[in-house]
Amino acid sequence: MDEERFVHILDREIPFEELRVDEKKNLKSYVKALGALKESCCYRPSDDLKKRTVSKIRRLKIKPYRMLGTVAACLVLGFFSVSFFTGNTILIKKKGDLYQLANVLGYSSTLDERLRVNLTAFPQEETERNDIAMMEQEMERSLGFLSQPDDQNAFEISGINTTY
Amino acid sequence: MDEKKLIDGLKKKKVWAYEVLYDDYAPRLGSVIKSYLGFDDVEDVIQEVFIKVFRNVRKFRGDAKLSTWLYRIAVNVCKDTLAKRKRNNEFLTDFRENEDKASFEPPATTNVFREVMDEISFEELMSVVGKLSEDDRLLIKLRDIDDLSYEEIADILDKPVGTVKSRLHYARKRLKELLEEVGYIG
Repeated sequence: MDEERFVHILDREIPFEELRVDEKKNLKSYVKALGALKESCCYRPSDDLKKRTVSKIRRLKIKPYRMLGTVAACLVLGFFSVSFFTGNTILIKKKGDLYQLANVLGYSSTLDERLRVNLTAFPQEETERNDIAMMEQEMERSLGFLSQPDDQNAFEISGINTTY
Repeated sequence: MDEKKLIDGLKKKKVWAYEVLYDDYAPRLGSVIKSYLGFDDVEDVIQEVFIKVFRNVRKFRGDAKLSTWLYRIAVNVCKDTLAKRKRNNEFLTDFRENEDKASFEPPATTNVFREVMDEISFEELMSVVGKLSEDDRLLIKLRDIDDLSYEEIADILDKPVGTVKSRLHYARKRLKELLEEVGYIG
């Protein structure tokens, strides 16, 4: 069959009725082949793909807001960090500077004496006095090492002076 | 749904608009992608197309039909996928020299069309179709199956109408020759 004529037939420029018998036969065969191509390309999208696609689009949609939120959180954290470190100091004292550390921690006692914690000047009740005694014991247990001789305090001590 | 309203929804990044777009266009896009790539790895490409739509919908001026714009994106994603695939194949050639080239896969499920044809004819036709190049398959699919105009195809492929006509002519000729080889056309 003539190539040009075949193209014209496919473009429907020549009515089907005007085709010769062999042309009609060939056209039917060609259309059948197109049917095979059409079937091979047939695609039915799944609901699962729809869900995945839509959820990806949703994530892309909120991505700028999430990035904005992250930046804002970083700024707030940065602001608090700067304000904390400008208003507070971290003291690191080596052994031998224990007098200063005791002062930092709010004690006026010397290392030669036992630590005394005077939490309230005039305890009123028996229970209050017991509580204070217990607190004193606890303080002495946790900070008593300050009154130990230097050779037993063979480590470095840090202290944080903070208003928080 | 009204196309203008849909495009508005897409531009405003409304999720419902993307759901409608998926329902309306995913089957057609999937079909074009499948005809071009010739294998069943269509889902990733469809997803990529929708993501590209989401990112670029503001650039859509409405000069062409929405379907034409979508087809164009799909074809471009397909071209990228094929290029990537060819690069990977080149890289792997040394490791699998005797492996056959990827062939055009027949549909996995039986269907009415297949039932009305005898098994051998169907397989033969599939093999003939598989021998066409990606571009030939795409052109024949867009023109002879989807019935798009030459202008629309030219828009999708970003080629002049004359080039599309000439390429389609050769694609049809090639298909006809292949059909003649197996005795389908006399």
